[in-house]
Amino acid sequence: MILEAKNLKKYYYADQGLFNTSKRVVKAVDGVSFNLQESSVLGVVGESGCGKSTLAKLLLRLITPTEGEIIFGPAINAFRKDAAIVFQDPLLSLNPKMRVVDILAEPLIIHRYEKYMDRVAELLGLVRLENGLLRRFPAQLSGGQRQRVCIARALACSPKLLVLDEPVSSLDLIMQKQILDLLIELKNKLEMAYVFISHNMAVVEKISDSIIVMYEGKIVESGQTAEVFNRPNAEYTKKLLEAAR
Amino acid sequence: MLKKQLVIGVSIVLILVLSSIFAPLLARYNPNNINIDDALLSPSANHFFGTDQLGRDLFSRMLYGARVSLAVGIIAVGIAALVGLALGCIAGFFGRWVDTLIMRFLDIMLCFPVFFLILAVISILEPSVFNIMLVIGLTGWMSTARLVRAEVLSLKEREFILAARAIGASNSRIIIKHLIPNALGPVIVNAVLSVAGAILLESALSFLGLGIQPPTASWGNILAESKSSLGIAWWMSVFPGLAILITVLSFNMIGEGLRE
Amino acid sequence: MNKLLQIKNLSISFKNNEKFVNAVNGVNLDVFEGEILALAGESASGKTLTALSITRLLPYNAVINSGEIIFNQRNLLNSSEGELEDIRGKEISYIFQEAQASLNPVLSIGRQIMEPIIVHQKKTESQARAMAVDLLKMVKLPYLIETFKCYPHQLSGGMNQRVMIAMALASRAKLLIADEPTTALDVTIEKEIIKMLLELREEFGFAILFITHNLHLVEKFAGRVAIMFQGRIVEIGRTSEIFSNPQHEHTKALIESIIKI
Repeated sequence: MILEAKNLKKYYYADQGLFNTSKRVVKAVDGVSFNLQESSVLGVVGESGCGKSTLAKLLLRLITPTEGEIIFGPAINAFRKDAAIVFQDPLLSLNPKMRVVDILAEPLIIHRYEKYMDRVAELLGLVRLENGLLRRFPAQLSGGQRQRVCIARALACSPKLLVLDEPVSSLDLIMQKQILDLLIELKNKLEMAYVFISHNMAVVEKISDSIIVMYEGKIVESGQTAEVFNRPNAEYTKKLLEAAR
Repeated sequence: MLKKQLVIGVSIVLILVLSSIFAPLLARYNPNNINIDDALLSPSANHFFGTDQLGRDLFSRMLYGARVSLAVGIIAVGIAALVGLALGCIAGFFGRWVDTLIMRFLDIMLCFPVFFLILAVISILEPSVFNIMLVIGLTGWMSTARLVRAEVLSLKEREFILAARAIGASNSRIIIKHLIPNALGPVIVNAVLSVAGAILLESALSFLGLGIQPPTASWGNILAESKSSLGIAWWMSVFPGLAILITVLSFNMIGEGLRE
Repeated sequence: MNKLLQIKNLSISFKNNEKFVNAVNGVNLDVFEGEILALAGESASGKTLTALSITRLLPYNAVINSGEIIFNQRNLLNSSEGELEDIRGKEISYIFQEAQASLNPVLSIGRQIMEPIIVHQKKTESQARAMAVDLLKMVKLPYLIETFKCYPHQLSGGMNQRVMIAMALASRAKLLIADEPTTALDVTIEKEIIKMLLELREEFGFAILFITHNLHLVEKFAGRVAIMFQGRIVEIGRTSEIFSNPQHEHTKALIESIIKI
């Protein structure tokens, strides 16, 4: 086991009323539990506002849970090296003032890799980007190239766990397929575990071993991918499947 | 159109900077050389800008004065920009009580009439070039700090900052590598625009006798010395006045051009 | 079937950093009465520019170089701005991706639906109100009276898109140009909106020009499809034929990339 989430909750409080007399509670993630085996893929499906992006940030320890805990397996030692994340919109998640080479070298410099330029060259090969792009800024790349840069950056320190938050949703159709194929290939080659978050049932089906379906912060259905797709139990899962077919 | 503005501004500033650097080559007289016999000569082929009441060549004094005026303007603004950048970044990034502390301090600074604050400080300290730069710099960082703080507040919510955290970047790394480069644009524009203000401030101080002390020439104190002979020697006030005007104008042109 | 709209040899260029870039290159496209025609392509393929040019709603830095757009025996590219204003929202209606951005934030939903009815159809206040309530019923907006008084920011994306569709219905437009109308919406909402559009088309008989990058959606409900690539229409035909037997390389690549369950 690489990751276990136990009754994870993240509540946000918004002041309400003229003198902040009452607090409105937004339950972004509300009691989520699951576990993930090494080198396997967990698909997280749900629509906007279901808490899936909050879950991604919780898993990466970018925010602290209101309640519950996340237990990482022995494969995760140095957390920021062994766990990484790829966000939905590559243009937003790349510093516009940094060149590709600096973006890729940054995690290596932070974690004190020697000869990090060799590793940068390796990373380019892994995500199939040309060397000529190293001197470019993110704005000078296409959408697909940018997402490859983001994936390469996430792979820099050879993570064991990769959280992918809607990694193909902002891309064009042809690029979606290519990036999805690339992610499947990388997972097999590098033996990583994925938490793959998406609103797109078809995409999740292609890559996941097991899935959880989220609605309003809660898990409404979970199980092996084939099982959930063939015999959905929850009404909401059925609705999602019907819309995707 | 604005690009033309930028080119004109940069070329004038470049000419001014170069001529102040090469002042010893361009000046035909020692700027501090007193020669009472030649007092108050009007502009001629020998003395391009005429002479002052002590017979010093005004053109030479203006060249050397440019060194002081430009240096004070640029370095004072540099100090202000650095202080503003640092405090604005820290306030915006850390928020909470750090932010409150810095911003309230900033409000207090804004409450003082800056010019009188400088007058008071200079009358206690010795009015050397260094002190004047320092005082102008340390009283001019507030607008930069505000600007940077607002910029950082919006930048730190951006996803690439989250991405940097996710790869393990420390706070100092995030500030230096990610926040500052992205907040720098408006800071530079603001700084260039304030150079003009700092040069004016130095001139005003010198005019009041609290700036650069004679015999060292600065545009401000040349102008100050002209006031006793304003009626009989127009050149003594017109040339330094024009120099200040042109410099301020060209820094403003650069600032406006960069803003685009 | 009669041709409702003809686009002939349309070319549009875009001014970018002092340089003109051809964005649309000699596009020919006919829309028949009552049909659903999908104009599909990836981002920057020129599909949105083509759609906007129909009533000359182009951004300021785009220029139409050549072509004709014939609607009702009139070339819209030669029509005056006044004539176009009569056509926009009356005979040709648009719905866009960001419904909330297309609505006026300071007017209530009911007001916004009533306004064009009063202006274009010269109805009285009370007649317009009655029509607006009917329209909201047609687009299945729940809690009618409450919705009537709501402002766009109080409604969800799907509900705002329904309001946009209600406004398009109000004018009994013959052509509805829908530019990525469901792209910003959740998949379950998307399905409901599309289903509703189809039902309304049955009832009112307008044609839909459906601009999208989503080929899966095209396959499900468009009668014909035109594939755009780099400013050109590379393939056009019946949807079933194109999906079963694509000719152009780009069409093949697109169809192969569709990820299905």
